[in-house]
Amino acid sequence: MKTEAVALEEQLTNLVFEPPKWLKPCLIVTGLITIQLFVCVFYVFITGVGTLGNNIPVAWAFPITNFVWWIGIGHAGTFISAFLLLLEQKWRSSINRFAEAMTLFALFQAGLFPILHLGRPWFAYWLVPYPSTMRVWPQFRSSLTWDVVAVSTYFTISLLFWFLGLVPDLALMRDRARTKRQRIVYGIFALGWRGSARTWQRWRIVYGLLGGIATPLVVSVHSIVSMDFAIGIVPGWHSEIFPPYFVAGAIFSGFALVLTLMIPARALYKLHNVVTTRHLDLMARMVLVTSLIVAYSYFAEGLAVRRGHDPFEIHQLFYTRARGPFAWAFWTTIVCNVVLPQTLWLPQARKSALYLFILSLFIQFGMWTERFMIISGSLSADYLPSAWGHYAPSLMDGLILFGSGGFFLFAFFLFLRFVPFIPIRETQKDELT
Amino acid sequence: MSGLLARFEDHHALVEAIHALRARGYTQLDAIVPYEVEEVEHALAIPRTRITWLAGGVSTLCGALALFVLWWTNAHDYRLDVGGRPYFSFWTDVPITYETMILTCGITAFIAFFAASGMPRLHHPWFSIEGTRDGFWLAIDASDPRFDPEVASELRGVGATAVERLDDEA
Amino acid sequence: MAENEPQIGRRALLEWAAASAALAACARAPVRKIVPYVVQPPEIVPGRPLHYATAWELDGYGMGLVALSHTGRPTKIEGNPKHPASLGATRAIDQALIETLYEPDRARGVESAGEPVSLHEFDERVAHKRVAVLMPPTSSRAIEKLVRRIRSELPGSDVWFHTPLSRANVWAAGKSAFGEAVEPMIDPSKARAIVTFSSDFLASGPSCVRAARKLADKRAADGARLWAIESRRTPTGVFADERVATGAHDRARFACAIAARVLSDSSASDASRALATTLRERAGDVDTRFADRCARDLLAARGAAAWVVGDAEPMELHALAWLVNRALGAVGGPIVATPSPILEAGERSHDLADFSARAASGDFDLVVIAGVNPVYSAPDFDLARSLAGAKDSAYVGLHRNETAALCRWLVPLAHTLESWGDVRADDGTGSIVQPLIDPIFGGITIAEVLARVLGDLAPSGHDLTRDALGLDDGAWNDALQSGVLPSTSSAPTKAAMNEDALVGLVQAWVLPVKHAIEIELHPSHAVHDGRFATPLLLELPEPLTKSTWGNVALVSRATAESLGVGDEDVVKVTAGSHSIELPALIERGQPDGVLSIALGWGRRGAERLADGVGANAFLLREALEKNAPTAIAAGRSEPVARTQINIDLYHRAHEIARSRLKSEKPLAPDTAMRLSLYTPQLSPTAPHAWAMSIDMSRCTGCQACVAACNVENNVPTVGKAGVLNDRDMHWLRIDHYEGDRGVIFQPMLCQHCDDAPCEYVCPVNATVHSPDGLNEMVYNRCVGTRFCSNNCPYKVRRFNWFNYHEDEPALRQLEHNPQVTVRARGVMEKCTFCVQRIRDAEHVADSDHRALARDEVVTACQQVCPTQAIVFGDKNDPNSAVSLRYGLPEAYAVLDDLGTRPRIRYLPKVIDKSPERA
Repeated sequence: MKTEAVALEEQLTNLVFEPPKWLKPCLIVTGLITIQLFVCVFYVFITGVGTLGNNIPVAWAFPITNFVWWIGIGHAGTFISAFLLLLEQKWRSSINRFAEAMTLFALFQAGLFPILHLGRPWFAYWLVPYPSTMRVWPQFRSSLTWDVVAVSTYFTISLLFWFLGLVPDLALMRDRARTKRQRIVYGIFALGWRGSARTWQRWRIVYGLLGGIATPLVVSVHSIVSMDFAIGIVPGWHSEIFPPYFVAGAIFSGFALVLTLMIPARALYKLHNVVTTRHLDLMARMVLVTSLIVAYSYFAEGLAVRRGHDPFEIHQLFYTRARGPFAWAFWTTIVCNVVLPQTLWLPQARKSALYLFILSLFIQFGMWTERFMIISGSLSADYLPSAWGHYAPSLMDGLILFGSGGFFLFAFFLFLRFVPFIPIRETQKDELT
Repeated sequence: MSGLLARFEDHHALVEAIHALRARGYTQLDAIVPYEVEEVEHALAIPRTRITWLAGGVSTLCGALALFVLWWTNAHDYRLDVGGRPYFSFWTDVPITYETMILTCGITAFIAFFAASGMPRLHHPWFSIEGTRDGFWLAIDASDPRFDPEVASELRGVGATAVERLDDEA
Repeated sequence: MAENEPQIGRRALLEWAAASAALAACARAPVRKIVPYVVQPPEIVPGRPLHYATAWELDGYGMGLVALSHTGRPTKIEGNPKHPASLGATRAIDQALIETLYEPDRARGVESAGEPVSLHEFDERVAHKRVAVLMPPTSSRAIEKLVRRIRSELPGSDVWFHTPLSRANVWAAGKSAFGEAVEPMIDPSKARAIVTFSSDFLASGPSCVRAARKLADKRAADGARLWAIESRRTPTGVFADERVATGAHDRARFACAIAARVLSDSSASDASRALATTLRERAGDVDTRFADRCARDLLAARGAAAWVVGDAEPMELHALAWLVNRALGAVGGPIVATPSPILEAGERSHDLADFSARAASGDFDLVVIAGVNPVYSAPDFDLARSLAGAKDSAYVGLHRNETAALCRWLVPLAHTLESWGDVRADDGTGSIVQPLIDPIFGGITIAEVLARVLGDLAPSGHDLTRDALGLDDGAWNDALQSGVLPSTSSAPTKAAMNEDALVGLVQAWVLPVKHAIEIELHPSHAVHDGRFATPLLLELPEPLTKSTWGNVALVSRATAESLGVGDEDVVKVTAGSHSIELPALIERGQPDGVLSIALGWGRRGAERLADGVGANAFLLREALEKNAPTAIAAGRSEPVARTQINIDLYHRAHEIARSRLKSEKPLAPDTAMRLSLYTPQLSPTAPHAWAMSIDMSRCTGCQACVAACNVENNVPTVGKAGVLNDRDMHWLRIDHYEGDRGVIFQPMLCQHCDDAPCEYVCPVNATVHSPDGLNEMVYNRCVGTRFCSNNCPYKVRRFNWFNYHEDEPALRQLEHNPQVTVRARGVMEKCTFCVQRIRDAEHVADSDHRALARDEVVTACQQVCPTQAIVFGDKNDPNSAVSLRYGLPEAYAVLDDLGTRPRIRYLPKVIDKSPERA
């Protein structure tokens, strides 16, 4: 092999074999936050969901908001690696594993919340059809059963896709292992990969197939998640625009999170040759495009409600959200998701890593408030004014959201520590052939 | 398996060697490459894998099965009046059917890939040869009807930098 | 046994669990023979409740009840249809009798100076001694006999009567008019126009159930216009067709203005006509148009018009009411002057000051306070000093309350469901109180205390009652069975009305002074005078403000602005040397300058749940007689736990709460075509189709249905924090809306939609539809996604956020209805249309080999509703009560446009404004 290929290989494997000094404290801190998360989750399981702030009418609040937000964030990972794979966008190869890992870890978080928020989480398996003496089956008209299938499919396919892409690099890690333990562990996960041209061909086709099915999957999953709301009759939920609106928002927030994670990693690992300014520029363009789709969705929703003359919908959108108790969330959403991303029309903005990093944080916050406003804002004031209520999160709500952020980062730091997070073989191929 | 492994400087040399051997009627050829090189695959004339067909078939079957389960559970085995909605409605069953098809397609392809590739396995004779991780190698299986251990010198003739024999017993 | 443990620790709880298990198993049946009502099985059949007719008295007035007993354990109170004060319904507080019976903080044994002693020692202390007894007013013949004997046989002993919410003004006016304490009994079925002066006679007081029923029926039949002149909005006031908000001064002037018009216009006597001139002067410049219209309406209904005056109004206004009622020809018609059933009503023995002075004098060996709590409710009488001055003191009561804390002896009082006794309703009808259970804590009745004073050391409430009533076996058994003593209602007084005395009283009337700030104290709708400190009532919403767990100061918006307070800002209210602090609520229809505060809160007794909840407004009561009150902002706020915040309809009146004036033409039925992609699935094979009709014109918002539903269905309470966090569990709530034409009360419960939106979103089939049209909630299957609640447009689903029954004292668990699941945490619950009653009736009919009778199934809310606003039944039967209302053209479904096809249809609120207003 050529020396530059070997050099690249060494650079990228050394990222794992010679972990930087800052990684350990990061792992410890996020590990502690993860422990905090599980203590809180355990407490909620033992005591009851009453420890969260939910009430009647706002029976869904932080947990479902977090679920939708995390799962949306995950979508960009799949979108980058699968959709761009199909379009043969070569620039994706240096960031795709990063993005896929982000998807998986976001899905860990997302999967936690629907179970956590159940009144009786220990019976969550009742949503799955299995023969029992009671002969009772799940009720498949409910979008929650669709959700179970969609999210578990999404997680499984994402995991398979990510792992399949990883196998050749794991084999390389095995081969370049510096200790016996590394060789054994990486060897186990490499599953006996040996670089046969026949395997490579099969690998490419199966990888492409998984990418091919992951693309419609990513669209369907968030569409189904949006149906958790759209099939309801709550004003502010019951809207045909939700599936594309939610998918666009998901990819929007996901791209932002890729930026949030990639920019510090690029700086810390000095990967400017692998993740170039061009990558940032292209990512920023994607953020801008999805922001415009999201902005259009807001506009279209308002227009449909305005022209629809449904007093309940109008009150929800133009009072509860725009001027009422959820106005803070509404205007945060507009500023973060619509106004600020317009700066990306400027090339300088798209190329400034620092600016993109800060902007990406705003976008994530904006997407969270958007989900919160849609879910809890709509519930807080629906049909009968007598039943309207307010919502205030509890301490446990805050700790669990914080903890899930910590758990996400913890998983991510573990990923940086043990897994070649830049696809080595793919990068080599792109560089050399 | 047993046979011969021959190392080449780069994939161009490898492709030439493959062409040479194939011209001589060798059929049980394989190559070891660090990353995917489509020229090598073309040279070996590897038939397109049928995993996609398998996955598609399984996925269609499982989709039909899912639809059947949805009908059977909610509209046949235990009918309940739920909000005055129909016992069976194709459109509400689309999401689950669709997701099931994707799930089973992915799992089938994944499993089939490893099965077809002889994986997972802990050891392989190729691993015993130094340099198989980052070189370009040609592998000739001893089961090839034209296999001749003396082909090693010919391989050197077409540019192999090293030729290794593999033991039978591994 | 842990009978004397002041607090329940874990250990005591376990002991109690064992004790209550024993109780449940042994079913401490009363020793004396009590006779089951209507159903007379040869023995107790497990799972089948027995019905016993009984009664109880509140401030002396009897209310006939039917108590349900499951294997010896009373679990539910219903009204006795044969009793004139009940007519089959009850008030909300009657429903709480079950909770007060199983109150874990009840006194658990006789104590002397904090040490447990035997009842025998108390007997020794009390027999043949000079004893002063203070007890609640009573109408019991047995007690009457005992009091007479004490007065004649033991000259050194004496008996007094006291209640914080006295009808002394009513009796005093009655005495002036007729020479005896007379009650003006209102019969709305004979009235076409009624005017009330701060009288909540439809929702509180001894005859409210009957009055509400008759007024609602009369209105539905041929109309009866109700005029209300009052301070805060009461259920009666918002039930009225015309209402004006006034302070006490203006109310008196309104009374003068209306009376002047009535008296001068009628065939009244000269003295009355002379009075009219005086009254006209006193009336001054009050809203003359309102007075004109009201007087004209009354005069037009002469012979069928009535004045009703609230208990707390001045005695002179009650006197004036007699004059006006006579002038209107009401006396003997809608108003009947009935001698009060209360023993020694209006006499000196009802004077607490007299008791207080005598008790402090040291004339008595023992001062016994039984069943009342004057240390809490009459703080200005300084009973602490009286009790300290007495040689010895004993408290006989259900709890170690504020008064008990100052007494040396504590003797547990038998609960009314543990007692033998007799009571009389306001119209004099007698009933026998029969026990359903032996005294759980060995309590004794007040009659038994009095008998002990007379030296009977083993008195039997049964024998005392039986002796006093003097019935033979047959009559006794019949009375027990039916719950009423036949032909015992009082005849109207035969005395002629002493007009001169009344005119003299009114002429000398000094109208209430108008202060810049006026305090209106009123009994709490939930906890009454504070004696009902049970979770059900503490969490029972006030009809209009929907506040729970504490009292508030209701103020008008203008007054709030001048005080510089908003909702939930604390005001400090001062009168004389007393002041209390409590949060303000801005209330519509509240007269400017008037702060309305409920009594009965701010308890400091042994009832832990009520301890320190709210502020004790009794502190102000005496001081307000002499002092002008002040109110200032305290500069802090305190959240008020309200079950409903929004009372506006946001232009949704047509979809949600319809109303119209009686003069307008009936509202058109919904005829919009329903398009659906689905063919209806509901199979019409079931023989019954359960449905409900709610007539909002009949609803007074009295909350009795809420209370009955809670008791029937084991609905948990969630505490103040829970209510503040919108987690109240009431399956049935009464929504309060400000409609275009006035207040609308809308009982809101699960609508049992045919196309229920909650059902199709449940992922586990935990809420499904029954063939007879019930929206069923399967607790066992629920995993708690709460999607059903989100998708319920009526928001009637309730979620068990915690295991609300987990920390319930063992004693409390006895009150649960065994036919209804006690829900664990994490599951959704909601109104079931009392499915246990439906299935029970079906099983009974099945085993009798007959079909269900028409209207045989009665839900708890329907049963308790005083006005029959709620009707339930089989929609398939065209002649069932529900079908008759369901098919009315004005019957509509709430949020009909959503296509949920509810099984509940509402009838709009019809308001009968006086014609001049239009």
